[in-house]
Amino acid sequence: MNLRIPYIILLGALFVLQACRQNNPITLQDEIGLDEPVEVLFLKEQPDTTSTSSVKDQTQTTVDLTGLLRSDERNYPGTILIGGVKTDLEGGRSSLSYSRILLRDLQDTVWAKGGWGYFSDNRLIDVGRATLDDVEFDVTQIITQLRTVNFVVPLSVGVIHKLGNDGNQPARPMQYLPQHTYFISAQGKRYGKNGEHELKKFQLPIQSPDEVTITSLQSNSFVFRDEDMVLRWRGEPGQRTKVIFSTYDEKNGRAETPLVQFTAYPKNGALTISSKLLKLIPSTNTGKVLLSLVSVNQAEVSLEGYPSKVLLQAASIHNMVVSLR
Amino acid sequence: MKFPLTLMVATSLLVAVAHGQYLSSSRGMGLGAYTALVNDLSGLDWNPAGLVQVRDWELSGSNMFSSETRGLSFQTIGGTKRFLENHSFSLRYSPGLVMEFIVPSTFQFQNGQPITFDKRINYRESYAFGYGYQMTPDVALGFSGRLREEFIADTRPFIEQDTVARVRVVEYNASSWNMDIGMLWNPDPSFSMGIVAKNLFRMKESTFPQEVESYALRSLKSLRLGMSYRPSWFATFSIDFDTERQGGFGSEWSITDGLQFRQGSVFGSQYSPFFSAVSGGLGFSYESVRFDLSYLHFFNPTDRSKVTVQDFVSKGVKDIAFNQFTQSQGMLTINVPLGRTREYIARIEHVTISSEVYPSSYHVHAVRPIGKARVRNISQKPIQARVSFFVDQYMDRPTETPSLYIGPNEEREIPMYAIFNDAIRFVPSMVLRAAEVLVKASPTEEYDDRSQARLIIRGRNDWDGDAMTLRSFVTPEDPDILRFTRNVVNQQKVVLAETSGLLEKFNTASILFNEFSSRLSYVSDPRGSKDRVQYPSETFALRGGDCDDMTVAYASLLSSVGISTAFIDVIPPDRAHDAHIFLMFDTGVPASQAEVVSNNPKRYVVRKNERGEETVWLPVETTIMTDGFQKAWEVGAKEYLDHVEVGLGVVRGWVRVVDVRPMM
Repeated sequence: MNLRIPYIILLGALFVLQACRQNNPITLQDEIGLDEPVEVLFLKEQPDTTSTSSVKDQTQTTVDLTGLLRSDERNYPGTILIGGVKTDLEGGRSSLSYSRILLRDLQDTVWAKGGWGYFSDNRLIDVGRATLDDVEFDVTQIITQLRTVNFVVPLSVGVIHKLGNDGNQPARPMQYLPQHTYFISAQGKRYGKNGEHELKKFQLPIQSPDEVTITSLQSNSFVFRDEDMVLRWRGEPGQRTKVIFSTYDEKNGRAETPLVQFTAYPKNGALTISSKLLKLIPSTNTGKVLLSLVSVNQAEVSLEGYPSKVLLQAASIHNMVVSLR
Repeated sequence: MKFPLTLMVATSLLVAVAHGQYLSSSRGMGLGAYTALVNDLSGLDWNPAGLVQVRDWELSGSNMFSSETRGLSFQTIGGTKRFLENHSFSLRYSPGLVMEFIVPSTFQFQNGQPITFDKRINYRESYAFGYGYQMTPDVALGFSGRLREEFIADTRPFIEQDTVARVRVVEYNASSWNMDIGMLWNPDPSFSMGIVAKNLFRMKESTFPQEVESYALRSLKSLRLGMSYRPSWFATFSIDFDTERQGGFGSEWSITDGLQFRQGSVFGSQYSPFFSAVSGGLGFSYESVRFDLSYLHFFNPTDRSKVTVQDFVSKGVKDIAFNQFTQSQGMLTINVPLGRTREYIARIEHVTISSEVYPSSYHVHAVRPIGKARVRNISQKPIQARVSFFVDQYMDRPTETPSLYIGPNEEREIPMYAIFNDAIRFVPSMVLRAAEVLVKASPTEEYDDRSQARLIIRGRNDWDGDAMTLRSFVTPEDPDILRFTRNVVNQQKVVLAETSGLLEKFNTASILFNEFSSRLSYVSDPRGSKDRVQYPSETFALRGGDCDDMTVAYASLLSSVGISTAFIDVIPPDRAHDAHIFLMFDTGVPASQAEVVSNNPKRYVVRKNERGEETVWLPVETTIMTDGFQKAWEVGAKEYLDHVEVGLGVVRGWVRVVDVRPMM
């Protein structure tokens, strides 16, 4: 063989040259195209239902109606909420709208001991005459039924201001208006055990997000864990969009225990949830879960005379029962 | 040069080439359509039958340059070896035939460390092999196999203690051998056609599970047809088309022996625009090493930053090197032939040996062809070809012919000559030898083709029966002959001195004949044929011989004293077995004075001598030895009269009179 050493060396050099060089990989884009990744929060919470405590019936609505986790409510002693909720259950669709002002006085704890245990919570502040635009809120006394061995003792915890039906005791009706700038105002009032504090008059504007309606799924649709779930909806997204999977209480038709929350900031009415995450959602006995699409505009506000954080939120929520396989 | 340049520009405007832009060869990239032209390692992709075009060993390497690579991206390296003349085998390692996709993480965990949960999809075609077989001079077949490997590394979260995210990587592998079968048909050096069945067989070693099979490489079976046409040595056109409705054409222009320009383009019904890319290339050779540099430009390349997962999954990837994500790029290919590196431009089609070699007349082959070689110019350019002929042991070196012009793709018969050495004179009996015939074509000095021919070399006393070659047995300068004639002339110098000057040669011939006949006797040929002739020295040593031997010996005696002779070869038309040979000699007596020799014109022949003068020649029958010169003359004259004058043998061609002169 007539070896041509220089050329062999040349080829060898080319071979070596490639050792640290590669083709650029192609980074594929998600069809939906989010600027920021979806934030994932797997939850380990107690059942969140109105059926477990008479007090909570009146103060804490479920996640499928507020879009708030219990941790959110703990974080914000004060919440001012406006919500428009649709829920597609096996029996059909139900809708409700509500608004609520709930301020806890962290310095005033109601404590009572009964035969079956004890009750302890912060007292709820009366904000005085309050209106949503021109409609005055109903004032609802929150009375807990403290049970002793022989009888039940009613115990006043305070008041909340509400309109519409928040899934508890209905108040004067209201209709959720999408993309409407609501003005929530209150006259203010003295509060505290001895009236030593005074909540000043306030007026807060908030624009409600567009009403969202899921279009890519129907009630009782199958969602396969092996495939990315592309969730599409009608309606402009609000500042933030959350998708919450919760166990489903078929008896009450309500969310039972939130399992996972996805938070995203989509530009359009679509969101992809990776199959990698779907696979992590705990299975339920029936395989059915409640999917809550929550489009919210919210802001943290402070009220003169009230030392704690207040969450001002307007949300459009569409709940749907799906089978997660 | 204006014409080819004009054509080049014209075809550049027509642009179009073929799919299957298998980007493993710069020449293929430059031409576009390479199915019918492939002659290097890239036959593994383009057409495995093309591997037979490699002459011996050939190493190939390719590199690709693109804005989408991190610097220089090495594509392939491999080698092809031709063996057993008609078989070729190739192996290739392709570290650069890699394509990687990343499905990025679209989520992150709140209140946790930032972790990337991406999915990496990696396609490779690192190894390939091929085999080519030259089934007939016009048809070659081949098959190739390419190992396609697919890897997926999926980084997934898992939840620990209900809420804390952890990472694990799930890997999937799949691999398969994809087999192509190709055919190449070259009915004419100016035209070739190739057909390739791509992915005809697929041998799966492992497959992806269902959950990721949407990411698997696509392996569609397709059939591609390619044709090339070379109207002249400087221009080649090629076209490819396949069942995927992709195709095109390209052209190559040879400016000089080692410099080519190429251009082509790509089209396909699935491309947008239809004519999706053009290519241009340059090829040049340094000694036997070929460098090819090409650039492929896409009019509307895919924006790789905007490829969605859904696009990727729905369209898939069929070919790792050339697909919808391929970008404009350049490529350099180097082919290094090793071993038998020269391109042969002449081929020996057939060798004919037209005569046996008689040692007695071996020197005639220096000027008279010993045979012919039919040589074909297998290049596309005119060549000067010469043939050499060599027989080991009997030739000192090959005897070459002068160079002869042969046009492109033409054949020509070239006569071969042979200059033997003295060894051939001593061949005792007939032998068979292999003669080596080589053809060399300009401008190279190495031979282009070689052939062997069977050559019969007769024994030194063998004679082919032709009176012309019998002359080669006449050896007037043989020392034995010279010694004999000098002795006789000296002994008879008194007698010779008394004779008239006109009859000096007559008397000398007469005296020599009588002395000759007194020492020798006529015997018939030992094999009863006339294919054996003794040299005069042998006749004297053996003290006899047959008519051929006696004629040769007497002619040698006369020639040694300056008397011209001629053989009279008689082959009666209906009695070949009665063939006979005798001689006549020149008395030097002018025809006008013929009566000095004889008053009977039937006893002599008037014919021109070497100087063109008409002189008196006397036929002598050398087999009549014992009766002396007069009787031999008388019988010879009568035979001449009967055969030539009466029988008109010369006129009718069955009598030949052959002057005994130095041959050549």
